[in-house]
Amino acid sequence: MRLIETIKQNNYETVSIIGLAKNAGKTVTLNYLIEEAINLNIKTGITSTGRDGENTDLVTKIQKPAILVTEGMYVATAKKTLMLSTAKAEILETTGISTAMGEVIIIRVRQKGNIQIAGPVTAKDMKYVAERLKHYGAEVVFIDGAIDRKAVSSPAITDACVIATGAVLSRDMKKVLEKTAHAVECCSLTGTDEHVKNIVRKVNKTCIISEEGKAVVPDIKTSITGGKKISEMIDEKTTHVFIKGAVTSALLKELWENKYLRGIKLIIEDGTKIFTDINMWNEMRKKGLKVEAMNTINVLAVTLNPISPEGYFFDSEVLKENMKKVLPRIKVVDVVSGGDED
Amino acid sequence: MTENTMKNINFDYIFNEIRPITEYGIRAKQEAKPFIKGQEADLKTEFNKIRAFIESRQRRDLIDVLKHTKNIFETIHRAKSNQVLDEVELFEIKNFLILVEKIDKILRGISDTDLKLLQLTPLPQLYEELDPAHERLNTFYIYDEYSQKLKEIRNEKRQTEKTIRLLKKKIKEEIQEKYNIRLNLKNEVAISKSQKERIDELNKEVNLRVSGENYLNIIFKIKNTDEIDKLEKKYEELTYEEDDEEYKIRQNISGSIKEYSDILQKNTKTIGEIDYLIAKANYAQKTGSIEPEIINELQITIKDGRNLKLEKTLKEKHIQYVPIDLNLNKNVSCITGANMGGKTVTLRMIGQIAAMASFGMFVPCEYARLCLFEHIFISAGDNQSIEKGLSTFGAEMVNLKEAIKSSDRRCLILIDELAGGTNPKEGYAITKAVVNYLKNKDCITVLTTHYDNVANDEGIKNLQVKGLNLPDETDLSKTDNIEHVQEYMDYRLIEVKYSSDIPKDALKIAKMAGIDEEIIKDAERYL
Repeated sequence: MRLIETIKQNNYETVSIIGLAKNAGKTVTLNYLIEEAINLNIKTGITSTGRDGENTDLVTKIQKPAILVTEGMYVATAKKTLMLSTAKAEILETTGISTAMGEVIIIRVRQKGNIQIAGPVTAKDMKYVAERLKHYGAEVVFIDGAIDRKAVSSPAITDACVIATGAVLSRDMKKVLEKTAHAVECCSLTGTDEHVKNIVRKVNKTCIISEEGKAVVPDIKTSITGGKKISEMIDEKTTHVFIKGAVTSALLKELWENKYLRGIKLIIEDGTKIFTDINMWNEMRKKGLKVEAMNTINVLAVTLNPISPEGYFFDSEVLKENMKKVLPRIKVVDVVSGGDED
Repeated sequence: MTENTMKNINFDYIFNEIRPITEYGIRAKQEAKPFIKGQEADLKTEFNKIRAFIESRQRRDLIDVLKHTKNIFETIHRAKSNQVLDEVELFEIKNFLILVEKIDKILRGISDTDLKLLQLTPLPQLYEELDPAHERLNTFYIYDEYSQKLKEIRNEKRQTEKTIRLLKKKIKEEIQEKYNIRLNLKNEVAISKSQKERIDELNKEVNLRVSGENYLNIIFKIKNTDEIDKLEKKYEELTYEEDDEEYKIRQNISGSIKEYSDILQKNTKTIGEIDYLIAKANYAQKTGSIEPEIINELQITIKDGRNLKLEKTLKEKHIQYVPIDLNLNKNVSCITGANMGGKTVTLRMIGQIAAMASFGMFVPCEYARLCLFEHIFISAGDNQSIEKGLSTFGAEMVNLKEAIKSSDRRCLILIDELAGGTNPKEGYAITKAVVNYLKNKDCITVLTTHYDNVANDEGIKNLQVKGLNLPDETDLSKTDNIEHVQEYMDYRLIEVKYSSDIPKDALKIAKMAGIDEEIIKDAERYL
């Protein structure tokens, strides 16, 4: 089944595209999905968390594909970028959400053209904008996520995500596979039991849960710096530890010091909150670290860009085959070479 | 009223609670000036408008419309200075016109003569210009209907685009069929270098060109035919023409907007006024405030007056606020009575009510009748001046000087414990002299004092806090908690005619606060 069909069939209304690095092919993926949607007559809405669709990437100054939008599509973007677009737009709403590039405007495309997209920055605004795009008529809303803004793919806003990865991650294909697999793993962690979720929801702070279902909140400012204190409170009766916010290498190391940790479950908000060193993470996971998430993210597919802007590239077939081996349950699409799907 | 006074009587808190929705309303609030003596009739009209909004069912509808109001000051200004507005700005103007029409319609539904003063001017002619297709939608686009030329350009563009698409599709299909290959969305195909023959074959194909190469593959891409190249160039030219035409259209509309800019600006101002009035109406309703009667004679009469800031604090602690009655019909009034008897609170309340009335707000009481003042002063524990390095007494004197300087005009002067921080003998003397001075001015002066004999003057009104009302003496030592004072305190004020002495509750309160019995006993000996 083609990617767009999967989205429609599951009734996913909001899909984010997360690039694991700049030039991982996120924009190509977005263009690909748009094209696919057009072929199936699906009305799409598009927005982004970073500035996108420019001819050259702001960060690396490398030629970047623009986002081509066609008549009938809905777009939410900042005013300055809208004014530079070659597409003709009917203005539907001025949202009052401001960004560095001006107020976010919602438009309907009346004549096709290339458009630059710079949407809202905060998760709350993003949620509003996605709702508005649907309100005006978008059946599927694609959110182009920036590398440092994984938060928009949080399940609170989107129904599913597509991960864009590629040669740019490393000259070593093994590393590319490893990093991609890690990202997918983080997103698709097991969901926590409903009764534990209820306890955590009530407390809504970093807490230590005992076998009687009692939650104790440690006296810490943030989880990042409170690893030692949390660790001290874990004992033989602890069954779960909930970490609100980011899980860093330092935090994980401090928790790992506790001998009971192997027996208990670490609960995090969702996969976008993991910021640990991959090797350490993999080693701990192997040694028995159990991690569950309050919210799981649907990873619909991984898209590949076998070419790195630094000039090196992988054989697209080989990369695809290897990726399929490390991610047997995930759809893998090479969007740069053609986007053919099995 | 100085900023200091505003803070000291907690009027800043009250004014902050007035919350207009739109930026126009916020501006109207910022620019609001107090009504002063001589503007009684204007104030009356202001009150009528507020009452009309409180009483009208349409207030909700208006609030709904105001919530969608965007600030277009900048856009109007740009049009006025001959700038060509962009599509988003035109969209904003269009929406503003729709909004004005809506508000105007709602206002017409309210049959109040004073609200008729809030005149909005709908601009249907300008609206027509922004809706040439008569869609009656609140979206905006440079519609085809703006000009025949635009329509033609766009049609031709569309045709050209379609031709290009079909031509490209045809070539793609032909190539795919001819060589049995699949081209991707970018019309590219990667061929392995090992397929030498295939590469040679494709190299010869006129409609393909090599677009890239790596150590494994050669990438071929569809080449534009001369015909397509020509059409694409044409498309590009049409786009320029279209942009040109659109610019002219925007220029025309911007010109019309410029013509109407004064009316547009006036409308923003009126919307601001409406918004501010509604905010005042909302607050009046929320705080159970009423329209005060404004008179010319020097007088303040308040029935069941409440200090809003304190009332809110008490409410949070689930404590009932005791409203106060007051009748200040002489130039100078003294409030005397027990410590913790709410004298300062009452003083602030008087200031609040007078300030609220002068800012055209309803006032928190059952009934109020008062005149307008040109200035309001308060001297009460002025911390700011103390921070500047003045002592309590020094700060008081600086404040007092200001008040006295202005006392030739109609002022409300509120003084809390004048000279309480200095020696009783001189303190009394200063207080008495100030009172003597102010009692001949066209001002209302209210002072709280502990000094005996200050209020003991024919021309001065003496209001006394009823004070502690304890069941019996034994209760005192049991309670042992200063917080219980308020349970036994009767905050109401009574007018005292002939008594010169001030009730002495200080020792009782000291006892309740838990001061050593020995000290209390000893103190009683000195009385």
